[in-house]
Order: sequence, then structure tokens, then C-alpha cells
Amino acid sequence: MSTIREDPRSDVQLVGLCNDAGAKEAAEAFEALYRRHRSFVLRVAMRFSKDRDIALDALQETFCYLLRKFPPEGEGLELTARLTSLLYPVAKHYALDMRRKSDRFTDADSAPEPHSAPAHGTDDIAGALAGLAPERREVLMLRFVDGLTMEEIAAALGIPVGTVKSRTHLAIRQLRDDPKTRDFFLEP
Amino acid sequence: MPEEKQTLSDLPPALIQGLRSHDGATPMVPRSVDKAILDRAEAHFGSRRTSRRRWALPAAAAAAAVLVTVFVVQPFEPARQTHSIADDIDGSGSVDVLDAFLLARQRVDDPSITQARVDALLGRIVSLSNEEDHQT
Repeated sequence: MSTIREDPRSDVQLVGLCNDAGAKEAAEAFEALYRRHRSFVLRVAMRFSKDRDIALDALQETFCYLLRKFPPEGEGLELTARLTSLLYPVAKHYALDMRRKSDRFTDADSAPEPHSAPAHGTDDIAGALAGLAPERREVLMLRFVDGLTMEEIAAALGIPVGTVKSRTHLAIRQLRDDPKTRDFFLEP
Repeated sequence: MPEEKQTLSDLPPALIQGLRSHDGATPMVPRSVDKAILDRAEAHFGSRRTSRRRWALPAAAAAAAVLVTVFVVQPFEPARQTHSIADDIDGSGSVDVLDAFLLARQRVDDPSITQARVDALLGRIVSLSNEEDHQT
């Protein structure tokens, strides 16, 4: 398989090739999509599984799910925006499902454990995030860590854009009012 | 009193950085995982080449058989309403060569459709044409 760097084609164009192109061109287009989105998928899987091995399994299942959408097995995929909106719920589903099936965790909603020694202020942020409702925390991470637009978040979660905006605003307000994170919002 | 510098639609950059640190560094994807996924993709799209040929051959054979039978043996005329509904594959109201084409193509994705069934439909199309000639 050839190495593809910074493919200039959009997700819509690459998905179109996966739908309709010949075998070689379709495989190359799929590779471009995979390399473009694998970090995002793995990050989402890590966020929900809290386990590297489970996250890597979820990564594979997510892209195999995408692969099955394309002919000859699937009917093809109609994409009008970035692929992240489709990949997010799939990665989340697999990560949570695999985590539940493993014996490593008993509470799927427990706060994440740090992967290494926490930096200054990380405990405060972790505490403040733990105080957010899960749906508000989710849109906050998608918006400010994963860089999705409001519309992409709405598509990923299957909710109206207005609801995304509302949850984002409420999450920010809560962080602004939280003593652990209030100082971030003040002028130096 | 210090003033707020952010609206409720944005976060301070330092807090955004803190969120990213909290989320943790994304692990590297082992090459073995990359290879497993991309090899599977290559096999998936490679099978597309085979399946496209798979329907093309029976469809071409069906077309050739119908054209030879209808135009060489009998003049082609649309069938009358003496056919089985099951033979009207495309739901056009008549049984003709287009139904044979469609059935041959469907056979690629549906193993329950046998070549014998396609051949039988072709035979009925020819029979219907013969009946019309005898009636006229």
C-alpha cells in the first residue's frame, strides 16, 4: 500500500471514490481517510474506554464498520460534510461496548484516571469537568479538544444545533462559576 | 475587580490547553494495526472487481441469448398479459428482455436466484413471443 501524505482531497471526494472508483483507487482513497481520521477515532476511543488496548480494538472496528458501507458489501455512503460526524458515534459505541465487556472497569461513567503525573492545574480541571453533566462535558470536549463545529457536533450526536449551543454555553458558564476554573476566565 | 475576557461561546486558551492535557496524549497507532486495517480494505475493494465481473458475464450471456432467439429466430414483440407476475421483474406490466437483464444482475447479490431461473425466464419470453405469432 502506498504512503499517502496530506491528501488534498476532501472527505466528500474520498468517500465518493470509495463508493464508485476501481479497486486500487478506492483502496487508496480509504487509506487517505484512515490516516486523516485515525488519531481522532483513537482519541475518542481512549476517552470512553480509558484503556489503550480496548481503544485500539475500537479503532479497528470503527474503520471496519466504515469499510462495510462501501460496495461490494454496502450500498455506498452519502457524505455532505466531514467524516468525523459519522465516526464519532461509532467509535464511542465500540469503546463503551468493549469496555463493558471487559473486566477492567465496573462504572462506565467514572472520572478518567490520569495517564501520567498531572500537570499544574490538571486536578482542578478534572474536578471541574467531573462536575459537568455528561452531555455538557461531551459537547465541550468535541468543540474545544476535537475542534468540531457546532453543526458537526449536532450531526455526530444526532441533536439539533440549538441544543449543542445551549449545552456549550451552559458548560462554559459552569466552568466560569466553578472555583476550580474561575481564574482562567479573569484578566491577568 | 478583574473583568471577564471571554463570552459564553468560547473558552480561554489556557483552559482549552488544560482540557487537552486532561484528555491525555493520543497513543501512537502500531504499524501492525495500520497494516491490518489497510490490508482488509485492499481485500474489500479488490473483491469489488470480481463482483462487477460476476454480474457482467451472466447479463451479457442473457442478452446474447435473448437477442439471438428473438431477432434471429422470431421477430421481437412485446408480450401480452398472459405472463406470471413473478416474471415481471421490473414491474413494467409486461415480460420482456429487460426483466431477464434485471434478474441476471440481481443474481450477483442474491444467491437464491439460480442461472436455471434466468434461463427459464428467457425461455418463457421466447414462448410468449411464439404464442403471439400463432394467435395472429
